[in-house]
Amino acid sequence: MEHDARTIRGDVTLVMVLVENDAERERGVRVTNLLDGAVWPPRTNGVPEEGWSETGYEGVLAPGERRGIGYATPAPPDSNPVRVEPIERRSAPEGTDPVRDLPDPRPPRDALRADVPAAVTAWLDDVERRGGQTDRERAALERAARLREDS
Amino acid sequence: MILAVCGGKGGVGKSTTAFNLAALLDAVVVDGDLAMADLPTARGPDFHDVLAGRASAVEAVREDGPVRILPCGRSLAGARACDLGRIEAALAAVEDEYGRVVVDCPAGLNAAVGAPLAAADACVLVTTPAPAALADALRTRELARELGAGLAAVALNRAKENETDESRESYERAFGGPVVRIPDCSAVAVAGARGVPVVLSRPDAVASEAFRRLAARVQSSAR
Repeated sequence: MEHDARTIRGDVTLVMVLVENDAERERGVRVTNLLDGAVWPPRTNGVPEEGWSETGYEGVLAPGERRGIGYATPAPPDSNPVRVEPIERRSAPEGTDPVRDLPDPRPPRDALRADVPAAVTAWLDDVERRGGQTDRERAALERAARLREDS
Repeated sequence: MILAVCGGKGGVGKSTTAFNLAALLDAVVVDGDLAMADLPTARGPDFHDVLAGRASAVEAVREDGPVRILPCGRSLAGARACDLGRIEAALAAVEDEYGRVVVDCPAGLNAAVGAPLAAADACVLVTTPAPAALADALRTRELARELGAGLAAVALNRAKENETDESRESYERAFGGPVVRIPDCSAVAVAGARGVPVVLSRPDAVASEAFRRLAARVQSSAR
């Protein structure tokens, strides 16, 4: 199992891993986070994507398949962020997954009072100062102004 | 034992049934209706906090009311912040500590119904005789079957006096499980409004007698 792992640091650390199954058969892979912080996996509707756990990722790669795997963590970056190891291939879970396969009952984010992040406000201020906005930029400015009035 | 009380349609009496069953079974009732909770509330950590990882399920259980309860928060922000993937582990933790758990599920066929059903040993379906409610209850029956929660009983709520044994038998064939009729009874609403299950405040009421039959069904299915 070949792999390459990198980290970049913004407000949080983003870990990017590329794994490649160089064998001619399906193989399972486990990617374990080695950084000193929680794994924040990719999510859909607030639910972690299939294969993610608190320690990292597990999945099955087809022969020759390359797969990009990424997650965020509050831990500082390091040159060796993950351990990648082949594992016994496990068959996919059968039947309905009650959380992943059923609709999300939680109220939509738009139903909550929105807080505009500081970085977005700064960008909007820039756009306003610059003048000559595009239609989309004008729409974003109007929406932000409404949000400010509401909160 | 984890018992999920569900039914599909809203307003058919799921919360009332869950509250009374918990009282009769000496169980903890978990208010699983994340966005529109109905059971009594309480100060301190609630189910929203548990599902957001801010509190443990066991520490959120209140023991000072007429029924032990894990209450649910009322805010939309709290409901939004819930990680539904934590529901199964939270219910298992309460079961480990207290033995019996009754979950009051929300209406609809969604993940907040599916997760308790997947964790549950059995379910009680609540419906009224109205066709729309029956249709939703049958859909929930299918979901329960798919997720491995056996049907302990169907509570046919607000049953009319003229419901015959014949009609009950046709319900039992449709659901594939025992049907217990809960008669319309004003004492239920009066007790519920005071935050006390009718089986404790008015054990002599006709509805209390019916809830005891329902609880007996649940207990015999658990054996």
